Amino acid sequence: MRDRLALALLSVFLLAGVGASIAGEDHAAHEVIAPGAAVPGESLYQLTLPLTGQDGKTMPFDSLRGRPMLVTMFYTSCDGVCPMLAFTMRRVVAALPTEQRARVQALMVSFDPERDSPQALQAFAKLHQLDSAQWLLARADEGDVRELAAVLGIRYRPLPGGVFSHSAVITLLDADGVVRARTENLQTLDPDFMRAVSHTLEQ
Amino acid sequence: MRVALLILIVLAPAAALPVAKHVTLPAAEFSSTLPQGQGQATVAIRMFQLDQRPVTNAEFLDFVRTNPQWRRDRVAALFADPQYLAHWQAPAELGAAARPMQPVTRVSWFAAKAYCESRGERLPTWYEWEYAAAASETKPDARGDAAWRQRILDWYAQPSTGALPDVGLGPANFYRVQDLHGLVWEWVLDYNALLVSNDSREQGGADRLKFCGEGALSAADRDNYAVLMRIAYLSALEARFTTGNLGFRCATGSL
Repeated sequence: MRDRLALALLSVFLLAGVGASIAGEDHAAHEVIAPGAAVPGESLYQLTLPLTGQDGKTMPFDSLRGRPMLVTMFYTSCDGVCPMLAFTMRRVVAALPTEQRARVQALMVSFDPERDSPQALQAFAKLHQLDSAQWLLARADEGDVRELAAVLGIRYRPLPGGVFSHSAVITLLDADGVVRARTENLQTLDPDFMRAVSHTLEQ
Repeated sequence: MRVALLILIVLAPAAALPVAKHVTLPAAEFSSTLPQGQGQATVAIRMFQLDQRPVTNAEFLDFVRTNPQWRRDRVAALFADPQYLAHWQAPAELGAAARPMQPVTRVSWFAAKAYCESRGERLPTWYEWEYAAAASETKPDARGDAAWRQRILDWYAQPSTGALPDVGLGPANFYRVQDLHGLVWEWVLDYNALLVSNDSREQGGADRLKFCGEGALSAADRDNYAVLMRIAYLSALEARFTTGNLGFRCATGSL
């Protein structure tokens, strides 16, 4: 009995996987651009997403369009993987040729709009030496946080005591906001991801 | 009983079928299958209203006609995969393959969410859905009832062949909600809150970083297979995915 159910569970996973690969294959054929909008159909800039940065100013997400971007999600009171996310993003930028380094934007959006005020974001940036010319640390409303996590394929769940359980993902967007690569490797520099960053910055 | 119901449905003209109705579920301290933080056994759920049954093709067609940005030929690729509403005859026509009272399927999370928002509502959260779905016809929480659990498992074990039945044919549960089991899988607002890890991931050094914090479900821990399958299914979805047996219903109430 137990085995049969394990099988059923497995087949659920497999089916979902098949769905994913079919969706991937058909993707190019389906590209639909909304009338009047120059943003590509699969661009993350399709989202309506007001972001409030560490300086307290609010801007629409798509005002970041025009510059390739590394984006991740975190929260400032996280002492586990979140400092590693910032550290890894800094390492990715540092590994780029000098002339490319300044051309990439780094964005970290908080899961925790309740606690992550601009002041808290500012303090995190200071602690981890994240230069505000390149790094935007931002909060957004709860519903917008969920939409951004959804398009980035990031899973997260608030737990009691202000703790979040979450997946750790760094995503590369091109200048138009289209996902070009993602990595969950926070231990070594992911060579495929680095190649994608370099390639996107050359375009 | 079931035959009588079927006859009744066949005889009733489609227009006479009731529109979606909400039922109210009381606030509760609910013991979820999802693990909580240390020392926490339950999660607080506020009073909320839930649709009695999943959203139908006819209802979703109305939405698409009033909100043409959600037509399958106009939706942005970020919000729905290429199979979105693919079983409809045309972008704003159901046709023969999609009956009006069947649950709408092949809808993405973004589309389901937009539909509920157009009604001034929202998708239910996972905890709300799990709480409503724990009830049998007679008990608010029947999860300890082996016979009831087996009936639900039997549905999951059935191969899904042929057309989906119409909504509203399943028995009403303790809260008068129908079709939570036995018809379609359903989107929830926080589908991306469901983290599932397996044993190999827990052991690997690099993989341990995939999920920060507690709360990733170890699929081996629990006995409630039907709920585990829901969680496993939802946790494998992306927001733009659509499938032929994934629908949704709406809820209201402050989160």
